[in-house]
Formats: sequence, structure tokens, C-alpha cells
Amino acid sequence: MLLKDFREALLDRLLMFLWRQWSALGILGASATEEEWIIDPEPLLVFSLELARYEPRLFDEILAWLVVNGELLDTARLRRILLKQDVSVVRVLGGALQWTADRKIIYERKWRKILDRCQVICEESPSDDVAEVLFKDRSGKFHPSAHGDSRDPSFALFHMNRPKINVQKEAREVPINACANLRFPVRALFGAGAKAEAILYLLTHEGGRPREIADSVGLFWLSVQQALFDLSRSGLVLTRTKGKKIEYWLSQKKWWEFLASTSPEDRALPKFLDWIAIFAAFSSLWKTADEIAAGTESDYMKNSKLQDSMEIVAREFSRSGYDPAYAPPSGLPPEMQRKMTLRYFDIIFDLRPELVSTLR
Amino acid sequence: MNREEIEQALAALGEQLAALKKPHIDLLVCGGAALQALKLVTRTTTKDVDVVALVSNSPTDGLIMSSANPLPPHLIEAAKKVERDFRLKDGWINPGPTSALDFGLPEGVLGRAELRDYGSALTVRFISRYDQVHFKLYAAVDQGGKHYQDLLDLKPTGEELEKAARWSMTHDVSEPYRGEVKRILKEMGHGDVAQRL
Repeated sequence: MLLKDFREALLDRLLMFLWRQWSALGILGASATEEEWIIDPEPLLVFSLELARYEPRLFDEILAWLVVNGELLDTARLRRILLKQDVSVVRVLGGALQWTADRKIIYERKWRKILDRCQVICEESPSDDVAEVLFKDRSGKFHPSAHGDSRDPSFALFHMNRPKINVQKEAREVPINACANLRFPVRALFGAGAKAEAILYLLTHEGGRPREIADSVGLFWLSVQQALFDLSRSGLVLTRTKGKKIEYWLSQKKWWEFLASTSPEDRALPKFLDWIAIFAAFSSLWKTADEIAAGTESDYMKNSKLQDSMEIVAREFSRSGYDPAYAPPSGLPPEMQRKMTLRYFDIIFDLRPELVSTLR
Repeated sequence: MNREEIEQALAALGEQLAALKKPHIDLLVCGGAALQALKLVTRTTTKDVDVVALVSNSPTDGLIMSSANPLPPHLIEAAKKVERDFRLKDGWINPGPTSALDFGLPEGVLGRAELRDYGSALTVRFISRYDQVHFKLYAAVDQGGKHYQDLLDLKPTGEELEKAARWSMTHDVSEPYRGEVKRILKEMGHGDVAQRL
């Protein structure tokens, strides 16, 4: 398998996975698959906007979704994720948020700080005189640039060139009854922020300390500590001593029955995955695959870089309880390593063989 | 590791170091890896690459050698990746013999070493046959076995052995050591050299 073919096969898998996540969130109607994890919209959004540059249809569906559902996004988490991104991702995110802000007045205020930050990052980075074209075909070749009035002004503010967006119909609201979308009803109850994230963590773990919860949910630990303290005053979030430290916990049975009309005994509950870390690992893998397919390094270095990225992906999934045995071991010949990498994604994403065979 | 595998591992190490974009690494290597690389012995494998010194170029003093222990962090980082990629054993490149620097290496060792560049970020200097005789005589007296066999394979002359013996006795000045050197020299058929020590 040539690196070029591997890159495209990987892109297909990642895009198929993203389509499925967004379908679960209401894009294109109901999802055919019930995800076994809780979807995390902020890292999903950032990675999707990066990768959907190769899939304009998905990109614009996400924008339409953002207009309807963006109110439930957590700006503090989005800002923290943004700080770790390349300037190219910042530009795309800036354009996308600006576009929603130009359409709905509430977003003008909600995204203000993030948009200001995006502007600063973009201005600090050297850029060409000509705005970068947003969309690319699967091989990485840029689409033709838009000219004059056909350019979208929101994206142009962030030095990105794309045609004006023509949204055919309004997106749907997130289906809140799916377990995978539990974040949304919890945010609707507690507001997007540390309280909602802490509750989600405790719903899927036996207990947790403020710092470990903060690390998992991507928020500042003092915010999480304050949120847990406030929640514990309700008597529905409890504390216990573990070693020398205080751990917070809740009655999962009562909370699940209340939130999702289900009980931990009735069905397998969705998993809490560290999506911030996982999407960062996907992004690193994709950048590597994209870079090495075009690069002039030796086959050895290309293989080694791929292995570096796969180790990060496998480590993040295994931290979330997935069997690391499926990950490609080190020292494989290049051809075998690429095949094993794709197979790993088929397993992790639960891509059925018949679907995979239709990818290309 | 055989000769081909050593070359492969060092070439990979050079690439990994170049990718890290850190300062250039220059190593003086002895032991089995150097013997293999210079095709000096009949044995075909070695366990590791023994680094005897880090070499740097001083504007005032020219080439200088310093202890390889610990190895520079970016060399360790790059070596770990090569270890993973080729399934090598932990510590496949190590500063094991660097303590030999404490009492000094044979004079002119750097000038005689064979220099090989592995890309832009790694230079390896394999010590010459003449210096190998010094190291191998010292190791043969100390440990015998494969080192004695390597020494025989190097087919040293009496003059080379005498210089090697005198150098090795600066590293171990004890009388028992001197006696053991003489015994080995006699076993190798160089009783005349032993007598002069």
C-alpha cells in the first residue's frame, strides 16, 4: 500500500467516523448507530473543522448545526482547546464562529472572547498576502478560490477563502434522549461549564478528585473544585475520604434514572472518553499521514513518525479502557504497519467490513 | 547485531537526530560495533554500540573528548525510537566503556579513528585497529573469552602489543595485573614482549 493510498484510506475512516458523530448529534436526521461513548462537542468541533476541509458538505452541515445548537457549547473548554491548535485550525474555527455570530446575535456575545483570541493568534502569525483556500480535495489539492462578492466575508476576516454559504434548511436540535448525547441535557440543567462536566464525570466514574476531574474534562481545576463544592451542598453529590484526600461521588443509579430514565443495571452505560486527548491524537496522526505522504524523508522515518502518532492514539484509547492489543506493534514492515493501522481504526470505530469495502 | 544491522541502526539514529533539530552528535565508538563496522574480526554479531567518548570541536583546542555518561538527552530520545522501530534491546547504544577516559586513551586515537557521517546530525568515529588492540588486550586480561578471541583476530604485532600492554598498565598499575598481561602475551607467542615489561 502506497503512502498516498494509506493517507486517503485513513482520511476516509476519520471522515466516516466524524459523519457518524455528527449524525448522532442531529445532522442528517437520526444516527443509525448508538455510540457507546458520551460525545464531546468541543474537541469534536475543532477536529471536525480541521478535517472537514476535505469534506465541504460535512463542513457546512456543522455550521448549520452550530447556529441551532451552539448555545450549549462550553466556551471555556473551547478556548482551552483552541490554545493548543495550529494557526491554520484557529483560522478555520475563527471563521466558523464568526459566521454563526453574523447570523445570530447571541453568538456575537458568546464567542466574543474566543474570536478576539483567534484574531490575535492570526495577526501574530505570518501569512501570505492571498487568503488560504479553505477546501481541498481528498488528495490535498486546493479547490479554486472564490472571487469578489462570492467570497464569504466571515471567513475572509480570518484570512480564509471560501464561497458564500448557502444553507438549504435549518439544522435540528440535538436529540437529547440518546445516551451518547447526555452532555446536552446535563448542560441544559446545570449550564455549560464545570458543574455539568463534573456531573458527567461522576456519572461514569465511581468517584473523583477535583484535579483528576479537571484534567479529564479540560477545565481549570479551581473551577471544577468550586463547582463540586457547590454541588455537594445540594446533598445529591457526596464526599468521602480516600487516603488523605476528599473524593466526590454520586448515586449513579438515582442520577441515571433521573437523567436518562435508565439504570446502570438495565443497560450498558456510555463510556466517558477523554476526547480532548483523543482528538488531539487523531489530529497528530492525520498531520503525520498528510506530511509523510508528500514528504521526501526515508521510508524508515515515515514509518517511525507514523508509529509515534499511532502510539499516542493507542495510549489514549487504552486509557479509556480499549484493548491496546489491536494497536500495531512496533517494528513492523511499512506495508504491514499501514494495514494494521487501518485495521485498528476499523475496530475502534466499529466500522463494519461491508462499510469499509465501500469507502473507496 | 550484525554489521548490516549496526549500519541500519546508526543510519536510523542519524535520521531521528536530524528530525529533532538539536545539536550535532559526534561519538567515539569502540567494542564489537567498531570491530564489525571496520570488518576487523571474524565474529559476526555484537550486543550493543559502546560509546567511549563524546567528541566536540573547540575553537581553541581542536577536537576534544568528554565523558559519554550520561549520553545527551536528545541522543537518548532518538535512540529510544530506533530501539522501538528495530526491536533492539534497551541500551543498545550505551556509554559503558567511557570510564576509560579517566586514565586517558591511547595518544592520537581520534586521528586514527575512521569517521563516518550518518546524515547531518550524527558523526561516528570507529576506533582504529591499532587502538582496538589496546582496548582488547585490556579487556582480555580482565575478562578473557570473546575479548581474547577478538585480540587474536586482530593479529597484533609484537610492537603493537607492547604499546598496548604499557598503556593498559597505566589503567591498572597493580602487580597481579602486570603478571596477567605477561601471561597472556606469552600464550599469544610473544614471550619476548612479556620479558620487556
